[in-house]
Amino acid sequence: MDAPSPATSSVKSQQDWTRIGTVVGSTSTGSYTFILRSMQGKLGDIVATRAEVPAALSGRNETATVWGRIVSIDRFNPFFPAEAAQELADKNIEFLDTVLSGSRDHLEAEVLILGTTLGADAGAAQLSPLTYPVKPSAEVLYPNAADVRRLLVGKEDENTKQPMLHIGTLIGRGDVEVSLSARYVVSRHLAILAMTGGGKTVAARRIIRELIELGYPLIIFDPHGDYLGFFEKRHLFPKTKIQILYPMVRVRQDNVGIISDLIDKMGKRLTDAQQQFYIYLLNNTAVRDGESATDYLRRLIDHAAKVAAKKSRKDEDLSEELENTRGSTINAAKRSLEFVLGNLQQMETNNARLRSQARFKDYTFVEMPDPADSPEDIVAPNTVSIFYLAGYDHLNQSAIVSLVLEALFTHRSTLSDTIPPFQAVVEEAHNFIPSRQEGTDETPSLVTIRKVITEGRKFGTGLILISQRPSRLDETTLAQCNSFLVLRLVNPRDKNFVRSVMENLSESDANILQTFGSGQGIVSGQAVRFPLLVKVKFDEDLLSQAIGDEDFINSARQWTPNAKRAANTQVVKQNLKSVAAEAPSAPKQGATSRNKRRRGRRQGGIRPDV
Amino acid sequence: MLHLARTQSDIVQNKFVSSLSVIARTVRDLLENNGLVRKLAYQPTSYWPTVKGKSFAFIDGGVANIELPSAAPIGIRIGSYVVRPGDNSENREKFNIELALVDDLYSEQGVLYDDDFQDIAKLRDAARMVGETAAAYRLANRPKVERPDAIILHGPLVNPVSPYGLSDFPPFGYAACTTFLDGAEWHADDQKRQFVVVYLELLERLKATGVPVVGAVERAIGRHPVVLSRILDKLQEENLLKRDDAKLVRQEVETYGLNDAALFDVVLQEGEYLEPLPIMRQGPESKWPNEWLEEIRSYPKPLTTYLKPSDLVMPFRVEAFEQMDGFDKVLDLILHTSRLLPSYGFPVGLDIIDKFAKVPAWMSRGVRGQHQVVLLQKALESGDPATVIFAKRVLAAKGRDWLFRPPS
Repeated sequence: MDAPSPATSSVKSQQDWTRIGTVVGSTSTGSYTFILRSMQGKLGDIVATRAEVPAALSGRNETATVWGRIVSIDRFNPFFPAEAAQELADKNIEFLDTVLSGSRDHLEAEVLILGTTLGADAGAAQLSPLTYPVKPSAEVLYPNAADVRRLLVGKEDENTKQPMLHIGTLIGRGDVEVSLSARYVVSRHLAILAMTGGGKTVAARRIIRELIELGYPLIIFDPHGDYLGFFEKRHLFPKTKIQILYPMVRVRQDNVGIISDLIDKMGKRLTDAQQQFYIYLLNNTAVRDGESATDYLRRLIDHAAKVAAKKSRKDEDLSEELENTRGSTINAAKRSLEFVLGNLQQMETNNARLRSQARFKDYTFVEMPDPADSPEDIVAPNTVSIFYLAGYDHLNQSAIVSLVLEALFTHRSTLSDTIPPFQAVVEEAHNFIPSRQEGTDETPSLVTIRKVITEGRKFGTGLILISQRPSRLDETTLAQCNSFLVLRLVNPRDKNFVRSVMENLSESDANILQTFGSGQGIVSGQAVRFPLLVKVKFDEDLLSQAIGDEDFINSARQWTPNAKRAANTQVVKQNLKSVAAEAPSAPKQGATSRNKRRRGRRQGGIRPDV
Repeated sequence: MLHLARTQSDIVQNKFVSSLSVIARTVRDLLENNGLVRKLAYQPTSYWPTVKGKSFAFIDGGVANIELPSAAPIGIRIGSYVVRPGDNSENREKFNIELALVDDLYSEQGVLYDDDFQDIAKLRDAARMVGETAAAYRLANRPKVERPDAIILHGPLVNPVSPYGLSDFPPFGYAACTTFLDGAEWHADDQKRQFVVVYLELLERLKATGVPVVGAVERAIGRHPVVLSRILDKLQEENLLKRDDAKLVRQEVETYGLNDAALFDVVLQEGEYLEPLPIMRQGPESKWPNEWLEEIRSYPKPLTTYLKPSDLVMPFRVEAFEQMDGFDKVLDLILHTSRLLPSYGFPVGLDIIDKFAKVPAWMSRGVRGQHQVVLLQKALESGDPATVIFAKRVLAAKGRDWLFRPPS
């Protein structure tokens, strides 16, 4: 005897679908309302109803299964008057003790129509739009898990075995798994948006894990170390090389402008004269390709110092173009460079200090390879490169992201075949692609990411943007994302922004964003067949011992001051006390506070270093 | 007319207010002097626990509004809401359609009336009154464990019957009578299946069950102050009030067209009610149909009172069978259920069952549509163009309402 075909089994299973309600009121080809049986369905559930629709060619009618998602449920009890509720509250009366009725609830559910499958086999055909409204009085059915699963996957993907990224299950329906189409995620970009605590890092980890399982090359820009756990848990991915890279801003002839950017953004804005001198410096201090920005800055400063010395000596050797440059201009430009160098060194120190924390004792941090010269050390199959950006300010982080992405994208776009297609994950994306209101001119990465996201589809450079403040993101860039995973969002500006960017997010969907629990969200776009409410799978085995929520209460409790530091302070205090006692007691009458300060210093015997 | 309204209205209104105040004070004093006013305390937090575990039934009927030129089918359903305060189980509330009376219930074949009758409104009213009483009887007739501790009807407990005692008023069908009497067979001739007889039979059976049954009348109709008259009569009968004084009071009240509800609204205070008095609801004997004199005389005289739940709302009439045990307790229940609707002031259980039993407009429309289809179909089947035109005219006909008058 022949085994039943999938279509036959689907037809049979459809007969087992539970009746959960009846269509009422006005229906359209986009939505309908039905009266729901008590406790038989919930928000986000996929439901189905049968409808007669005119066939496209034959002129006859055919039966379609109309698939929909419950987007809202209204519950009301016409037998429980509001003024009775007021009386119960005012007089502190128990509802149950009275003759009031609480059992005649009406549940009215609104369904957003997702599409139809024609014929008796629900999963057999491609999902197509509904062309004729659902009949009021039609039965609403609750399909079984297997049929919903078939619907979500679709026939095409099921047959061609396209790689999928499993992210979780339908909310409230743990038996139906939800997956994203991997090919759309890696080529058409994905945005993960959620407020703090909404579960965006968990969701990102889930997707990254799935991409790792596919051996897809990944780079992760990690400002807070949220993804360092992948290194700690690298034994879970034996075929994959996971490396943590710490940033090193390196300059090359073609990106020397980055130094100008840093001066512009970090230091004071240079005057025209200072700018002229700075350009002289750049032109006369050759860049050694791949040297660190700090080294190059040091050489620029040395050069400036030499020019200043020549100027003060009135050296004849001084270049002609500096004849009219005043010494103060040279010194001001030099001070700006020193300021930038100091900042950069401070950030490098911060990053190094963070890396050397005891919790990272088992971690290996590698200085990031030069993305222009050695991109294959960053992007390779079965390789995850995590850029640990902690310790750097936003500007420097942005500069680093810009440098890396620009270089990697250039390799891909010039078809040099040095690196394979890759996926870049940008955490805290609002710092890298801020909206115009946030001051976009100070963010070097904005232009790069815009370029990558616009043209990346052609060259296999996909992006996953993650942000907790969607409204602070650059709208043009975000709109290039073809798929969205939106978890809990409460801020009205964020919700409105997300609605404006996501074309297929209905108003009712936008309204439920704030009600999501951690890890619950809505996924929509090309990566799924239609918008779905999803509960993201939590990968407990990826939880890092080193990373996690800091226990500041405990840390503060156990904290003790550095004894040596305290002792040193004491020594200085006591010694200086005796010096201070020997100093003249009071200044002359009428002396200004400014004079007081100046005299005090001089009397200490120290010349101010001007 | 406008001039009169402008110049005289003020004077008339002032006089009305002062006169009303005098009448109210007089009636109030009379009631107080003779101990005819009682008071119930509204103490919800202590009251509701005392009725924990008891069950109360609320009954109301809904009538389908189907008007057709060619037919006037009857569609009535009687709903019951039985609730057990303090019960936490699923059985706390029970909603049920006790009776559904549809179409020609008047006929021997199991439908309602045996014969045709022109006044459809009267047929409907009669069926609704019998239906509501029958529903109460069904509940009261249950085994003791299922029997409610009190039954509250939406409307009068005993209605005037003489308007339905007309000689050509059709009798109920056999099956209908059996339905009304909770399955008890009623092998009687046409005369004994008449409304006047069946309704009386039901009331007597209901009374005999011993279950406290009351009717609460939401809206007062009629201008005659029946209850006040009865009180004045009683005081005269007991030689407590001079005839001329009673006449004067009556005269003053009637001058201003005050009915019982309007009068007692200004006389009674929060939680007060009149001492219940038996009142004959059947109107003057001179208007009774001769063939039903004996039966109508046998109708119960319901104990009647007016209860004012709070200062914010008008009092309403409550009726019970004479010799009913625990009328005060039921009034206490009615007060407390009325106060759950503070600004409406009527038992909330009746509000609930009213919504439940109401025949929705869409259902009436559906029935009307079906009747129209059948009528047109029959006309078309006849093949006679004149009949078809007539049918179409009948279906399209609208009343000559003043709203449809052509604009000037």
